[in-house]
Amino acid sequence: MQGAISKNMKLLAQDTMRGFGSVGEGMSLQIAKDGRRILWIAHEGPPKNFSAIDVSDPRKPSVICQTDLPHANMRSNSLEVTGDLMAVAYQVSTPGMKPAGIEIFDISVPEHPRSISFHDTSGPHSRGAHCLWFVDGEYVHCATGAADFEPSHPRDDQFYMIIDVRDPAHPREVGRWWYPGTRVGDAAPPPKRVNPLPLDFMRGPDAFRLHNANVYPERPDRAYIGYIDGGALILDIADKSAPKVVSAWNPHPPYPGFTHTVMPLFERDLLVITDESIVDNAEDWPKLTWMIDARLETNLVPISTFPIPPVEEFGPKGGRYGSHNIHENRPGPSFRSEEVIFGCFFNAGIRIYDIKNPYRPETIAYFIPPAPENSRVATAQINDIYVDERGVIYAGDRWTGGLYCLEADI
Amino acid sequence: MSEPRQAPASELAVVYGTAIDPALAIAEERDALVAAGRWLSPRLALIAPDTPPLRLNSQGWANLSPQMAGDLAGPEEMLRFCRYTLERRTPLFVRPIRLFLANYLDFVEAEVERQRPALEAQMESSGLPAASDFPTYRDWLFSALLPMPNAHVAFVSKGDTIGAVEFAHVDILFWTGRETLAVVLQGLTMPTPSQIRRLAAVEAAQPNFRVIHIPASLAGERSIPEPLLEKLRGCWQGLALPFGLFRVPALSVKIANAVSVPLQMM
Repeated sequence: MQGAISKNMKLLAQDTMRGFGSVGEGMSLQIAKDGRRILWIAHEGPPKNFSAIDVSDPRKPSVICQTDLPHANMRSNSLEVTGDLMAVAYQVSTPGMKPAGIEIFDISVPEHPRSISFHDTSGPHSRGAHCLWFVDGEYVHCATGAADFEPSHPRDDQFYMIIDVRDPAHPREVGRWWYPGTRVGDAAPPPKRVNPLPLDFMRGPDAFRLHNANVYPERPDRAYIGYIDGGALILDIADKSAPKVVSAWNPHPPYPGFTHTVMPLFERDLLVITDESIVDNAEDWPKLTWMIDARLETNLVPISTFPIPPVEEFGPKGGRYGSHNIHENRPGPSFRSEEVIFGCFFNAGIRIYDIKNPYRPETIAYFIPPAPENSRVATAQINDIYVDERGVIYAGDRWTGGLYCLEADI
Repeated sequence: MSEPRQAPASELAVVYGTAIDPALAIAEERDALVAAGRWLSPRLALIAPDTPPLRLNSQGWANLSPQMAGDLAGPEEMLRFCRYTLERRTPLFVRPIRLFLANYLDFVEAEVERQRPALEAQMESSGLPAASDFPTYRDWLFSALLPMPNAHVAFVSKGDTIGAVEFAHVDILFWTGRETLAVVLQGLTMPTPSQIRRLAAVEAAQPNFRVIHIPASLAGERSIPEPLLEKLRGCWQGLALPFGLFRVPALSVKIANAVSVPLQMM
């Protein structure tokens, strides 16, 4: 690809997804009954809801399904596939709007996803669901508001909710947890803001709300959650109706906030924790990926951060620069590694790390595509990443670049 | 002092333990080891077809001096020392290797107890009283094969970087005297293409290099499956005497001569 900067990575194909190349934070792979590999992608925003792309041959991806959102004041942003079920998160721009919540689809015929149910989490103070995790076919773990949840600060509206979808036609909430002090009526005082912003600015930072909640079959009694300015927490969810805090780690302040993902490496007793860059031109630098020693689960110790290129060079390039999503080692048709980490860093592209020595993560490969056509910023903005068990890497641009299929010589 | 030993062409260099840069470890230690006529250091093993089996009581891996050995009162303390030293030779953040090593030493301990009658009979046939405190049948513990954790096996590339030294990684490596047993623990980490390629290259180049894949389970006990057990069981076969942990070659010869039993597989 002309203009790309790379090391040990090769672009196999790019697909701008029928001109709607805005990729949100949902990428999940289905092996269809006929053997095709279908990559499901949630769009960053309207008008599209989600797309299905046949990536059986990653050199020739092909969109086979693309759906529209009900209206322009909402986004889907996040989805997950388990078997032939797909869960999609819906978030509206203004509390009180609908539809807001989680929709479950039967995707056994990928060209024709069929809605099975909708779990409504709308409410006067709710924007619905921003992000979800669904890897066991049984429970959706998501960041959402709810009709009965009045946040003490308008941007603290999305908490941790566990939804039982074992009967996918009848999803039901079975548990929830929120950061103490973020709900009106809590005994705890509201948390002190890290970087206070005006109250009428709903999206973005200055929030004590959930982003990612990761729960793995290796430890079904643990939820690893990124609570934005509340930092990283490990919850005991052995009793899903009453999650309890096991431990917490929060570098914000002095760091500028927005803990995004908490990924455990079970066989190594480590956590990889990402922040999310949310302001263009690195105005919110430094947004880092952290390595945490979790040998003692109740005493999390940061031991290193992942190297990324100099902010002096990448900050002025335009768009966001810094950490965001990583390949989350989810079960399924997914590459799993506790020694190699795949991350996306907006204008610093896709970056791969060898973490055999966790005190010194090492960049072993990267790919930075040129700015895609018609993007609203001057750089590619790699927003999400998924790696299949064959080692094929799928990454998405936030605005117009769509899907990049890559392979790495690692 | 032994005569300096020439490294044979087919020698396998294995960097193990916590070394971060295996090439550096070889550069720093290999020549000195060869010059000293030795094949084992705390982070490097040089394995040639004529290299004796590497055992817990092989000199070099543990940095055990005679003075330190004298402070270890009996096989229990010696085995504890082995556990501790192997743990220190293992990177901090690789729990499956740590579990494997713990299970392996448990197995060795249990196996010696299971074989106690046969081992005591063997001692008596060598003229040693079976009921004595020194030596005891438990001194056979240290004839168990040495597990070398986090092993990087050097090989000469035949690929794009022809002639360059590359390394294949395995979780634990044993040298039986006849073959290299390379244990790969299959857990939550899938191998990368280069890891697969490198291990295959070593297998192709070394006829006696055997890779054994073991599922690494997070739940409780991780057993050591066949065929590895078969290789590890009875690792004292052919040894006439129990030597405990500190095995001085000269002393071994003296004892052997005294009891008129030929030593094998030293």
